[in-house]
Amino acid sequence: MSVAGKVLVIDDSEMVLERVKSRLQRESYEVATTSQPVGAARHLLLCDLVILDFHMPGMNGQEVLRSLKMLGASSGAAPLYFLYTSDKVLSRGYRELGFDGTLLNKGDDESLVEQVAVALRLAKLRKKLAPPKE
Amino acid sequence: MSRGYDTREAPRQLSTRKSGSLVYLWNAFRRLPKRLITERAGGLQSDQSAPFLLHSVTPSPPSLPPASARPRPITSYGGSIATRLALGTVVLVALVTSVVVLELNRLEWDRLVESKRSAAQMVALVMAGSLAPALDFKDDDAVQERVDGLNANPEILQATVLGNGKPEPTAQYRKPSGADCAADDCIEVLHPIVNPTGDRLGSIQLRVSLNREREAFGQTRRNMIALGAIFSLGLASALVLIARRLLVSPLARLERAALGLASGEPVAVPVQRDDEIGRLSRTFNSMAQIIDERERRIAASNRRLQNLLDHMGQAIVVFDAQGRLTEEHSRLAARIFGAGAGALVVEQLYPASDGAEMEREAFQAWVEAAFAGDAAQFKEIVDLAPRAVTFRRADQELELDLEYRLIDGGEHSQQIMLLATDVTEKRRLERSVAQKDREHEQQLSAVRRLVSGGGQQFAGFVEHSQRRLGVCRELLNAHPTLDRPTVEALFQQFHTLRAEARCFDLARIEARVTQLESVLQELRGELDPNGNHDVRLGVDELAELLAEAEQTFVAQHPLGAAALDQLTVRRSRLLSLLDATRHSDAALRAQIQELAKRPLVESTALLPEAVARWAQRAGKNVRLEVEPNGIEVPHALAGVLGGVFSHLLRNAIAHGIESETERQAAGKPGQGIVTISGVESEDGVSIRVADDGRGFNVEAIQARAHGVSPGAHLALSAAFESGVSTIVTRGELAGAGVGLAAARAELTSAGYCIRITSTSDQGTELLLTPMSGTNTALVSAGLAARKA
Repeated sequence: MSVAGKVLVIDDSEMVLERVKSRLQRESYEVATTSQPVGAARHLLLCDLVILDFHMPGMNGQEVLRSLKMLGASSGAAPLYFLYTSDKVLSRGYRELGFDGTLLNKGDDESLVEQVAVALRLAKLRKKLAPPKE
Repeated sequence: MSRGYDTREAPRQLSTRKSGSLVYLWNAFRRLPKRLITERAGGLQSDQSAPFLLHSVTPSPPSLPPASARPRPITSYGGSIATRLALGTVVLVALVTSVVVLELNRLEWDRLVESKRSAAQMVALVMAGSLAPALDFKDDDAVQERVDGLNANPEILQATVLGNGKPEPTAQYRKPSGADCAADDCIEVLHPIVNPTGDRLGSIQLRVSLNREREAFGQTRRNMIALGAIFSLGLASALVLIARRLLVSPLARLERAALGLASGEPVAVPVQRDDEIGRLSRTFNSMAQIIDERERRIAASNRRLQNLLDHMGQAIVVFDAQGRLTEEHSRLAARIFGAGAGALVVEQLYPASDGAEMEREAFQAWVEAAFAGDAAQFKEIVDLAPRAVTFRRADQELELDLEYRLIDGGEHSQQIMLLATDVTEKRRLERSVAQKDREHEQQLSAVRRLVSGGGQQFAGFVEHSQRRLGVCRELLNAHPTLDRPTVEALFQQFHTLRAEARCFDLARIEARVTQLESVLQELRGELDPNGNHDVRLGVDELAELLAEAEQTFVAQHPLGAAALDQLTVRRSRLLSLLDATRHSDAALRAQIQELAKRPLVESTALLPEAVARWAQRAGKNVRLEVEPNGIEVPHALAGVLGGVFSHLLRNAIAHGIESETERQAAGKPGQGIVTISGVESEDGVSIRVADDGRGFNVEAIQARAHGVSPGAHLALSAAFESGVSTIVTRGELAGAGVGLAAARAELTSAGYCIRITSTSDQGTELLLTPMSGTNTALVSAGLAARKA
């Protein structure tokens, strides 16, 4: 069921990062984590999916997202950016915030695995359907 | 016909193309004539024993194909063949008749004119004869008189007599009405007038009317035209009748038969003659027969295909590049999805009402990618498709495994078959088993840790927890309506209980306490008169869970309920006590020695897992059995048993127990068994380690002992000499020739020695016994049996 892929997780909670990393690695995903949005762009290359917390100290997820997208575009990286939050209202407005999708039920590891599988499939399909670069 | 279903091919391909056979079957099914599929499916629908049918939702009427596909007679504005033939014939005959009549008319007219001319010549000759004397005598009056006599003939319009050499006519007669007739309406003749001697006297010119001939000719022409018309009509009618009989009627019968054949009716046309129509009818009948037989074969193949599909137990739908379902689907699919042709497949799997937005988007992207690529890429694309879905409807929740097959894969995929297998029950069972396994593993893991740690901590936890629950009950009894201080007091008790339960991996107790803490959290904010009842239920349930955990512990512990009475004492303090009582009386020392004894199980608790691990590493199948008889061993022995068991067991696995293949070849069970048990005797406690392997390889040990222990005349005792290995090939587990020597040294330090009994192909028994005057030497009672 799992589709191999590289995932970058950005969250200010080390505990959340450790849990997510451990669980996703069990599914054979390559996982990079960071609690420091600044400098996270170096992980973007070859990354299929970026899972982003929204409420982080000093910088909210939207600002991080904007910054990552800009840096990603300049380096040719085109991962999908998914919001990861337990805030349902925030989740519903993910498109307005600029995210490609949202991962629901934060804290539920099994649900996370299922949703990441879907997100990675979507990421790979979008890459396949994208027009070839000149 | 290139897409026709070849029934001769079907059985062979079904048997040889096992993988992808479903797609093959489906393709074969799709290639069947649509009318036939509809008809057969409709026909079978009435059969309640067929649970899985194609086109089962809205079967078409079985008799006729759709009107648009049905052959229809060609409407011709030119009428039937007979009419057209008759018209053509009439026109042709009329033309020929006209030409003939015209020609006849022309000839008739020429004949009449010529006859008239001859008659006029005759009259002119007669007149010339009668005028010659008068003209010879220059009797002009007589000439005039004779000329005037011609007026009796109404057809002579003009007569002129010219004298020889005279410019003016000698006599002339002219009928007033006919003097200037047209050239076609009259003829002129000129005849010379000569005397008997042959001298030319003049000439006579007659102009004669043709009116009478013209009238006669007109009548004749009318008669001929009338006859020609009658002949043409008669001929045309005859031709029409003949054509209808010989062509139109047989062709109409063939047309009706062809329509009947197209409708699936049994047809045959009568063959009445042996002409072209007769041969066409015979050919048609043969063709109808072949088609009928072919349809029967196809129908039989169809039934076989349906039977195969019936037993697949999958809901099957087909969708196109737009993601829309086609007409083809199984009855099971209709029952699960409930949607018909034209519905979007994504709506069936991920209804918008379910809110599975990401799944919908991913599936739609997959459909787009699947149809964008060619058939060769489909294998790669299908890896990105969802392989399972939880299908929710108002009254059911199904878990479906999904598979995808490409249909008619050419350069570009045209349709995709989705096969959904209902695995709800299977998944439920798997989850249930996994949950049980997890619970069991947690219990075993916790108990092993407890047992290896002595158990007194767990006993303390149980005691403390029961006391805490007692405190909770007292609080609940004293405060039927829970006030804030009582809630806080309860909270503290539960909080500690939860932390302690987590230490012992008691997940169920921890979860229940967490629930109770949630209840108390709510009661902190708002007091609830029912809160007492809820918490009391929780306390009772916790007491039951605690008792359950205690029972599990007791059941797993070799000492049984006595394990709860265990107390851990530091060895150093016991040794100090022994040392301090060195000069005390023997009874006191014996009591202290007894106090210092340790349960044998402390040294064996972790061994079963270790043995399984070592055996796996050695590629063997070995199980360790520890007989739980509550034996306690002297503290000195307990101190070395861990290492000794490790050496002995690794050695037994490495070369005592055979591989599964060898054991089965020797008539033994594939799994080797090593047993540890304790025996109490007058001399003290002995430990028995026995395996059912091949026994010691005496010759190999003797060979390797040469020069190392020249004084050791018994091979088995040589095995315990350092540097002598009991195994031919040194491996990861054993073979260094150190383990058994080390074990013996350890045991000696604890006042124990090893007795060995090894029986060829039956096994080895090692008995660890206290040293005494009679058993300090190693004895091999089984050696004799082996050598025999």
